[in-house]
Amino acid sequence: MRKRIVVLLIVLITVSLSAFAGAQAEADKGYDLYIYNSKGENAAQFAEMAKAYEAETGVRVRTFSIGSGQDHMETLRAEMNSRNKPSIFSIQGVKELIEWYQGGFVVDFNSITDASFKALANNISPSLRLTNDGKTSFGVPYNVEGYGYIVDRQMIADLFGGASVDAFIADAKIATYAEWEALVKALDAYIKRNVQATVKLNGKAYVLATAKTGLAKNLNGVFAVMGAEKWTYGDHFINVAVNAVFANPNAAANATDADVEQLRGAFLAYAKALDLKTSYLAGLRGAATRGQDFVSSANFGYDQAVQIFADNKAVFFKQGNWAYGNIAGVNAAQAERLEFLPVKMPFESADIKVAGLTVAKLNSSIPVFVPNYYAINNQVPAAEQKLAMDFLVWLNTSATGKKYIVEEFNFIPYNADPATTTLPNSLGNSILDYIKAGTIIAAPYHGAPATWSGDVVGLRLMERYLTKPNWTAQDYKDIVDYAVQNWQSLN
Amino acid sequence: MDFYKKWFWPLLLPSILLFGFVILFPFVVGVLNSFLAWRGTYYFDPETGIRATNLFASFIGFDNYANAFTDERFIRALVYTVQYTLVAVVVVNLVGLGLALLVTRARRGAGLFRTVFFLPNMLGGLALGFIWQFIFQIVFTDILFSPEGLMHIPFLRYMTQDSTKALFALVILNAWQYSGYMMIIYIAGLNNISRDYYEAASIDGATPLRTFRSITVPMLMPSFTVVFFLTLSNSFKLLDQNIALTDGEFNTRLLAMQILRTVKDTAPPDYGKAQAQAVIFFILVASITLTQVYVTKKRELEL
Amino acid sequence: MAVKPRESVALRGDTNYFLKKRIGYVATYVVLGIIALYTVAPLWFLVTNSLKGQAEIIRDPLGVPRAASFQYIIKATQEIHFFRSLGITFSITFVSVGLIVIISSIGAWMLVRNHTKWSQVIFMAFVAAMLIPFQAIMYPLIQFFDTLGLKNVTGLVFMYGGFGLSMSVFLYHGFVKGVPKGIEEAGIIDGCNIFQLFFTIVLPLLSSITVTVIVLNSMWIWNDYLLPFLVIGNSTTKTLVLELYFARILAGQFGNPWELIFPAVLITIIPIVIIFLFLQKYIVQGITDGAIKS
Repeated sequence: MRKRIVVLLIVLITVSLSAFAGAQAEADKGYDLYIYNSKGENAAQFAEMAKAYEAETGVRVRTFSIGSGQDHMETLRAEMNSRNKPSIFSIQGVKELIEWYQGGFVVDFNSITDASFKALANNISPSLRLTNDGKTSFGVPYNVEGYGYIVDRQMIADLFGGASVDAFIADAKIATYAEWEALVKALDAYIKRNVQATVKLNGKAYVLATAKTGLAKNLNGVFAVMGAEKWTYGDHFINVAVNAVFANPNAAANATDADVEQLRGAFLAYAKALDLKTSYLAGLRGAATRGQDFVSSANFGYDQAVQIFADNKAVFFKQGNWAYGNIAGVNAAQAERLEFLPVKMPFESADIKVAGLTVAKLNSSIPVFVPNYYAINNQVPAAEQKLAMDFLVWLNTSATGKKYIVEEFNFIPYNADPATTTLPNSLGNSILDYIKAGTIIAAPYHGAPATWSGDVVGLRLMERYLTKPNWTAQDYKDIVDYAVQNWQSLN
Repeated sequence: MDFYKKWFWPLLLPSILLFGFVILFPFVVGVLNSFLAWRGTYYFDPETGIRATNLFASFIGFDNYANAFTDERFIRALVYTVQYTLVAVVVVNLVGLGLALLVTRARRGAGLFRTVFFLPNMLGGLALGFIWQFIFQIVFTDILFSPEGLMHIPFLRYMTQDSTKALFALVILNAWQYSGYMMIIYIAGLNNISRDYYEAASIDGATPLRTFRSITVPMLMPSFTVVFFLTLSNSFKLLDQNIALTDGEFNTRLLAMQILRTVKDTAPPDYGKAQAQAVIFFILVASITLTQVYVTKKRELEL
Repeated sequence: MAVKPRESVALRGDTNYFLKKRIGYVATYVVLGIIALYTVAPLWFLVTNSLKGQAEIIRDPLGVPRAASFQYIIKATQEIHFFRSLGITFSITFVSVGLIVIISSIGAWMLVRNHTKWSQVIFMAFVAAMLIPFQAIMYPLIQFFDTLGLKNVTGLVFMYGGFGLSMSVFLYHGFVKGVPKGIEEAGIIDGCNIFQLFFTIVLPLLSSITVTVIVLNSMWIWNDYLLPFLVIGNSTTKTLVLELYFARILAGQFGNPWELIFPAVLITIIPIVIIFLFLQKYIVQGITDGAIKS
């Protein structure tokens, strides 16, 4: 009897082991080109695109996609240590570049002789290049992204009358901070106490409707804000202020302590603008205020803020074009009516250190930047590097490749001609409008020390200030000091 | 004797190989790496500023250890871990023992209660952490202990947003998950105590408290040793629940998470420093658990 | 026997005794009931929210589902490739535990039967290894196994074998000491070879501690997340916990897709709950033995 059990166990083990062998044969190298994609949201479409490429060229592509959450670097490092290294991998900006540069994993496009790839590399606009010193170029952009205050055109129509929507949006884009602040306060009084007022934008008057109609009836605050997501105010909101001093990530990355000192004026404006934004909050269940509840991810996390905006409870929602899918998931009709307004801050002329930039220009522009690049792995054989180049050329120049970028990934192509391109989503088109008008700024915060924006400044704001109902002049000063000193000490 | 002797090495070989490949060799490499400027995918050469061509160029002595001890986050994680462990060991033990006493008192349904209390132990930490996050943030904060709720207890609201409160939130979660396990061990210990002792005490007219102190506690000493060992090393190494509940925000990183996150705090990732912290962690865990086992064993013998 | 103390007290004329005893019982059950409710409450939230859509979870997380629907559970089942990952998790757990049981029992047996300097050193090394935190070895371990070409399911099983070894050898070691050598000697005289001796005489005597070893190792291997993530994180063969993790991160860069997380968590814990309910007796026995008798 016992012998039989032992025999049975041995048989079971053998069967399981051969099952493993089968599982492994599947994972064996059955591809020519391995692409590591860290934009996991489009994993399915990405794999489809690889199939389309194989159908056209016969090159077998293996894709591996992982979410842009916290573990993508860890996994990529494991892949880089393994015997089957990816030929193409993703790099999310200058911060991640240093590691791959030091380790000798990236190919400088200047050293490439392949003609068609060289043409592609040369066509990347200098402001969009992935570089550590301004001369090198290590990546082909995935796409461009941008952010600002998202506004629903129908909401504007219900608040200010249907005829004035286009004019309102055009004037709001170039309005001064003082006008913006007055608008926010007037909207708040209107929402909470039905105070009907006239506001001025770009000097022109706009009158609030006498009685709340349509979507305006749902409002309970001015802004939908994700207080629990420190990257929204730590990374993206503060980036607008960083633009006053550094024109691009490289300038920020190479900044001296004295350069960082220059940010004080801009950061003061940032603190005030953040104070305004977080003083007129909409919530899931009625108007909200700063406090413990505001940093709870159960009530003011990403999903909740999207929900607040999509339920028409707030007028403005500071987010990027990537939020299109989330909004469409909750309120598909609203997703078709969206536009961006620029994030405005009370800058003084003296705060601006970038040559040629003015307060008016800064306050009427939205940040447009490259979130992710394709890099070619220097540690794979030359033949695989060649395959990688061919693929990148195909993706960005062929009709099929472009179709996937625009229609399947819902991306704004980095090489799109804004004059002729129309995208299938409202927020993407709004960004193209800004590119067309030339009112764009960059993402120099990418050049700040690795953890500075989110885990240091963002976290401090979340823990200390977003939980505090009233901010004093001393608080503004402390925020500025903290941001400046930590940038310097982390350098 | 010779019969066993000739088979000693052949039969032990699989264990030794497995042990050497999985534990010993990686451990030695890990300790060596803690003296190098290791960056995960390459060894950094401080002289050239790029990948080192040989390991000696990357040797930086005790720099990683010095960096670890001057890292504010590491020190804070160390202190926080010690605080957490102290509270958790006491609470999990008390709850486990309490449950054991209650369950052994119950005549009917003891099996059912035992099943229910033990159940959370079978489930993974990460998934349950997400559910508990939901409970602390919504059920506790907005419903049970809000001003309009059952009882207004400000301390039990927003527990994941403050390092002191989060410590107790972690304790609540872990008491929920592990008390059942400890209960099982205590029940076995209680069942091992002969009825005769209680009868004798009862005849002498001892109060229940006196009986508990003079009979139950001393007789449970072996169970205490085991439970202390388990809770101590579990608490010290806690990771999944920490990640799921607060993800280390609001200064709530425990040591295990601090080691994992060190490579995210630094760019390029400082794996050498993370490894140095892991070695310090090992020394701490080893010395604390060994001391504990030594002390409780000694007490057991004295009794 | 058990009636005796009651008699002795009652004889002393305490008329309130039975009433007090009764109140004591009621109080015990009330307290137990409250704690039991508290213990199952999180699981109740898990079940109710698994039947709701995202918007309802966010707006009304505690309510009973307005229109309960199994569609989220069905979707989650597909999303995490439930049956495939269940099979993989089961195979990994089964083979790893089998490996641990055989290697550590026979190793511990040899360590006890040969009392030499080497046997003591090796045993101490095994025991000391229990104190090494996983963080101290994970990076070199993964790199080393990759060089060996074992960054795959087979390698994962070996790693579990290595990690499970220390505690299991420790547990078996304590038990083998209790096996009388006379029985084995009788076997030797009867002409058993070493394997016959071990598998027909020694191992059956160790069956109770074997249950312990199986239970303790299965529990952590089944629920483990970090090691499978590092070893087979990017292959198509994933364990249940890994599938759960990837379903969560692939669903969106930002925010929590609760309508996927809740049902996915639910279906990943159902198998283990079922196994627990069936094998409860052995599991409890195994833990008790492991804790008390060693």
